[in-house]
Amino acid sequence: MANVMDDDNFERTLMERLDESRGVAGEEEACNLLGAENDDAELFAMRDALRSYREQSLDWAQQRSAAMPSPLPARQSGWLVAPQWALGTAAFCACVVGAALFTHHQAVLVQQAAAVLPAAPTQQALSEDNELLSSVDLALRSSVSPTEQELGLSQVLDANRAQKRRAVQQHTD
Amino acid sequence: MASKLTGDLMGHAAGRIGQGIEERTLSDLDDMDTLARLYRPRLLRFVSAQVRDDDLAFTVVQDTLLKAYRNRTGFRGDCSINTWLTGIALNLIRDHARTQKFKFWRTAEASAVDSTEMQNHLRSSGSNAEQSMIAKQQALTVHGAIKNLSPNQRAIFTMRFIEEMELQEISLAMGMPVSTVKTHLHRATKSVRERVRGAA
Repeated sequence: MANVMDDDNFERTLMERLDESRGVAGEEEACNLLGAENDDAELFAMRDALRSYREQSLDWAQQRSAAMPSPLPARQSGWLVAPQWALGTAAFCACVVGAALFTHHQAVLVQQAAAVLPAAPTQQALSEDNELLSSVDLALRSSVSPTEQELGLSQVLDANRAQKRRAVQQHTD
Repeated sequence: MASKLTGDLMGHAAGRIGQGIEERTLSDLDDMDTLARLYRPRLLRFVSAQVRDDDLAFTVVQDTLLKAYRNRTGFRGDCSINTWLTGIALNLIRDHARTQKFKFWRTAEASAVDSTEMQNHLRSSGSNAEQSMIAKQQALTVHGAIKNLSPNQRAIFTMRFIEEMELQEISLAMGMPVSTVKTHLHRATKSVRERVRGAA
């Protein structure tokens, strides 16, 4: 079984035989090899072996590839893609803003309530009221009728008025 | 020179359309499902023959398709999509080959029985007919012969005789001159020839 074909020619001829088996090359290359029967047999053996390997390995790869998932990762919603620290920061900001709004609202309510309540009377207002009462008292005293004077009722009226004035004064104090 | 090379590749690609090898347009790159359907089986076969580890092969193939999809705008069309994808896969295999995990498994593989899915498929596929048994035996012989090659020889031999790529395409995918490709191919063919001859 002496081989007359060196490895270079073997490789080249093998490729031609593979092409030939696919119907690409013509009969010319095959005719050139008819004289070397040993090499011819070896070439055919090699060609068949490679073809078997090629077909069976592709068959396996096709079966296996069909069961493989898509290389692209499954799409997620935008908020799921965001990192956890970003979600935490957003939640914290929402809490801070909510607390600030609540505090502000409470302050506004207090201001409104304060505006509705009557202001406490000042010292000046009280003195003006006293002056007013005094002037009224004086006017009433000056307008006592002669009958009341004769009956001595003016002093009783004065006492009543003074008592009322003290009561008002104590109440305001 | 570049246009001649492109012309050669395009001519070769056009020639392979009639042989059942699908060469599609660039628009295929825009659809990941189409890309995976058309090119994943061949990529898986090629990568499995290189790494001999099922999990790693699946990972490399998925990464290759994902990388190609994300970088599809960078594909200039100066080679076929198949060549481009093969080049990406080779780079990813080289990246994995530098990791400690890969070195560990390669050491373990050297002394272990080959039990990859593809190996099991080659043993068990087909009917019980005698011809099928011969074909299975032949496929197993080639599988074993390829395993004994160096990484470069294995890649080049697989691209040339299994993936049926031209020398120029292999040169582009491997990133080495055609003369170097020829040297590796010569040694690989000699080694596989001896192995197949011994099994005959």
